Amino acid sequence: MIRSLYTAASGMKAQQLQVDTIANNIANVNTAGFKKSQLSFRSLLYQTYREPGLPLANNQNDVTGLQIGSGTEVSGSRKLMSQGLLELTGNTLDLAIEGPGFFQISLPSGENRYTRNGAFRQDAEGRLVTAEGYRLTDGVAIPPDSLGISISSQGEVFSLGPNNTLAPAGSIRVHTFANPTGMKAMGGNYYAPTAASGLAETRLAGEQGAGEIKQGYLERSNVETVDELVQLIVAQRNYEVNSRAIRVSDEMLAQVTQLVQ
Amino acid sequence: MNIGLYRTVAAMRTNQQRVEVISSNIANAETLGFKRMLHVAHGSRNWAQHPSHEQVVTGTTLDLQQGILMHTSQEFDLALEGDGFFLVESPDGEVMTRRGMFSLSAEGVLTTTDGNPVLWDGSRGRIDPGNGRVLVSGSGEVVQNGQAVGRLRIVAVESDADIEVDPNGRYRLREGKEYIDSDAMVQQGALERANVQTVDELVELIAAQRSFEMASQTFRLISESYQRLHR
Repeated sequence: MIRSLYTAASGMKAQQLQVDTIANNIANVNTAGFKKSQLSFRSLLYQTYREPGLPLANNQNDVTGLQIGSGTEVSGSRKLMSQGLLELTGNTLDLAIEGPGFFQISLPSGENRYTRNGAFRQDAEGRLVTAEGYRLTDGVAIPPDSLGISISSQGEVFSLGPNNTLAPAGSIRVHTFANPTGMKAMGGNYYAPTAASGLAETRLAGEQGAGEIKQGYLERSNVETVDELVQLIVAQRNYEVNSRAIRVSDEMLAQVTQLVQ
Repeated sequence: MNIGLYRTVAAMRTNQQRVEVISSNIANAETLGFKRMLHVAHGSRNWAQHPSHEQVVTGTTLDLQQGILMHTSQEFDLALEGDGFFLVESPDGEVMTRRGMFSLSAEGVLTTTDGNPVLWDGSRGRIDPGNGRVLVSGSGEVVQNGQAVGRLRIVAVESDADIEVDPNGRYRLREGKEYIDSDAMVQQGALERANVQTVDELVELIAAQRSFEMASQTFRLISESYQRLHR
């Protein structure tokens, strides 16, 4: 009897985590380059009371066996790396990747991080940096006298000089992973590679499966509010049903204790 | 002693088990590829000759009914429509699964979320991680950039009773049984949800609770009549 109390409680805990995940997705519906998370569950241990086909105490064979599961647990979460909508912003330093791949950012500690949020700006030396001031590793530097910046879909950066000439100012590479869903979200829209994701492969934008770079666009979050709302309702109902199972178990226990008076 | 007293205990025990099985189904309502367990109870053969508390035999069977497919548009999310399973090589032997949430390792091996490789028909197909989209046909043929990579191994079993649920809830083939060909269709970009209908489970739950209640009321009636007798 006590078992079903714990079983249903595991279901409630799982649904609670599901709601947490959905809430985080919804909160980031306007975060550029955000990728939604998805939880997955697996069933907990099954206890086998009787193997199928074994003789019972009363000398008869039973084909079904008796196995009872003990609930559910979260088996993991994954980032769904599907493309977000591209939004035209008109800013010359807003870059979006259309297709797979990430921009590579170097942290002050020297570690590399990956992001699809391409809202860049320039630092005092003309280098492209993120909103947090982390540098793009490609070492693109815009001369101080530049009148305009043009970035091709292959990531070649050109700067318009004072005498109306285009001068190359470096190129931005796209970095792909064998299994991008296996990357670790580090907060701030940055991802770190893991053993599951594989190592970063540096690609020319638009080649070998890497996405193209779009200047003047930002990639919106790939969260669909309607989908998340539906999931939220489902999670809430599941939570309710699980709590009902707890109540039923509790009421049955109460009946048993009433018998022994 | 009154034989009915033992029978009511058997009924209470049976319904308690029923609640445990239903709770486990409800808890797994969101587990991808999960198949619900059915609780079965029947009277034992020649029941009059056995002690009363062994007159009810209970057991569980798997309900392999198709779950609803949920579209995810992920390249390596594969769902099966129809009877069949993907085969996965786990450290402790082959397991069958309908949870097609696969991913590609850096070496180009298709694996489950636990990191176990998915089995192919013949030699293992290798998918080049950086070489464009992968298409999986209804029969499980994997094609990348127009190049055939191989075919995923999809099997079925003769009877539901040939499947053994291991303690981790994974499905294995029972000893001495064999796989048969499957006619399941593979759907790329979709996942199969649990085949648990929470409404049905709730109804079952309430039914089990009421049966339990009736048994315990009967128990009380019998025991009270004994009390009156002894007075």
